[in-house]
Amino acid sequence: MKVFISGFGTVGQGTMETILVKSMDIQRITGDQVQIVGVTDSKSYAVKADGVCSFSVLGSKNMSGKVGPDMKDGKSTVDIMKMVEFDTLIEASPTDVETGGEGLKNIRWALENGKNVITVNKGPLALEFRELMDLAKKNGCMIRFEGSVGGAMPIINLCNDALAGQKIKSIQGIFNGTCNFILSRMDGGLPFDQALKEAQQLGYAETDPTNDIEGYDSASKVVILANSVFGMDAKFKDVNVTGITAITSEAIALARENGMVIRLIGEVSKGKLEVSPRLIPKGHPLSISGSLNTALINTDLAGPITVSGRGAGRKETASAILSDLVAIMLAQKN
Amino acid sequence: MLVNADIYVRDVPGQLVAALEPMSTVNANIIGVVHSREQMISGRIAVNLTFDIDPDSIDKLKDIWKEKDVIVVRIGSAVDLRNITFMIIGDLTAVTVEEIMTAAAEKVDIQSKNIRISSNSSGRNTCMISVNVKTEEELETLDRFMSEGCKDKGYTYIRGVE
Repeated sequence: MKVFISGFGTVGQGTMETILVKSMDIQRITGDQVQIVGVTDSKSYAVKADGVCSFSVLGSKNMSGKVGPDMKDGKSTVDIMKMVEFDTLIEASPTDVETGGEGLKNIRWALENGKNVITVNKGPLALEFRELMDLAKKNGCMIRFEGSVGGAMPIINLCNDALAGQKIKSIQGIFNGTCNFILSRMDGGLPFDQALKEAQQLGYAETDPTNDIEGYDSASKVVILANSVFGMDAKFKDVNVTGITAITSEAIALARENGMVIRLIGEVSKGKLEVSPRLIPKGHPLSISGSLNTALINTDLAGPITVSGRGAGRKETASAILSDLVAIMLAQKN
Repeated sequence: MLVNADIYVRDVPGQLVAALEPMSTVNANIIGVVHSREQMISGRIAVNLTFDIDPDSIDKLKDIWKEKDVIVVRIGSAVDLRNITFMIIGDLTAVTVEEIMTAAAEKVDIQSKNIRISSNSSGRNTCMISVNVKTEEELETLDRFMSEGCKDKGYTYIRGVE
């Protein structure tokens, strides 16, 4: 399986490391090897028909901030993908929920040219989910995106594969670790601004935290779940979004006095696509603290099922990409 | 549907069992039985039953009871209160909260309510309200009313999870 990695930040590098470390396991499970034949970041690229050297690419990125000596110089990732034959695109470039950004162009081109796609980039999925699924179907290739919701927390494949045949009545979840970290720290008495600053210092929140604290990141995940699990044709604008910026210390204290906490919950159910702060009784599966993600899946036969895991991180997100890669390799083998 | 019924059975051994047996025939689930020997009329004693039953099966149950000489004096829906607890954050005072709840009471039949207000020096006060209503529909109506009303007024509405 020849693979091209678009985007070489934390997730892209984690993916290359994981493929390197797990190469024996991948071969044992699938009977095939993974060869990374192309890598791009925002400025540079590396391509080699018989596989780039992962050690060189990772070392170069670490030392110089570039994946290799070749600079993009105005070339797009699509231009670079055209330089080399490959089977599967791993799209891990920065997300853009307003236009889909370069990630959307990359995915479109790959699918139109019969390449499989694994993406953790939420923007293209939140904006053009149905179009991308139809493109994959039309061109006889696969698109998988487990890592786009909840990082290491398995939810999409769990709902579509392990719970196949059951009716999923609703999914409620904590889909943004940054907000959960901030609200958890507020439980302990910190005001919002201080909790946000701490989240930024620890690397949980970006310098511009708008996407997280206004609920936009969670809303993208709600759209992806609505479309992939519930078969809807939802767009980002269909989600009713309220962030956590209005939550005061008094509100947190009042909730605590009544045995509750406030958490930012994304919800997909019949007629409802919503991200909003909710009152959660302490001890409820959605009352968890820290930066974890969790989801409560309400099914007709199995009843409520709770999954939880790390929502972001180098190895964590790479684990979801690895599971998608193995699934594609097994599907193509059969 | 949760149903409560007052019936009278003859005060002879086996009659109470005879009155309860048909419950399984109509797939009803007995929640509670109160046997009141002190309420005896014409050799019959009063029994109060609470049970969960498909509304379509109530007439069949009444027919069976009639055959078994069980007298039904009252049968109807048992009130099962639904609770919703929510929070509103914004430029609120006790007066505005009272106005909101008065408007809400015009939409749904509020059985009881508990309101707590916490003030903040910045003027963004928090109000936590717990309300009991009779039906699921009223719960949804109240939730929709609060959600839309808060959006219009620029308040943050935080409700619980179902």
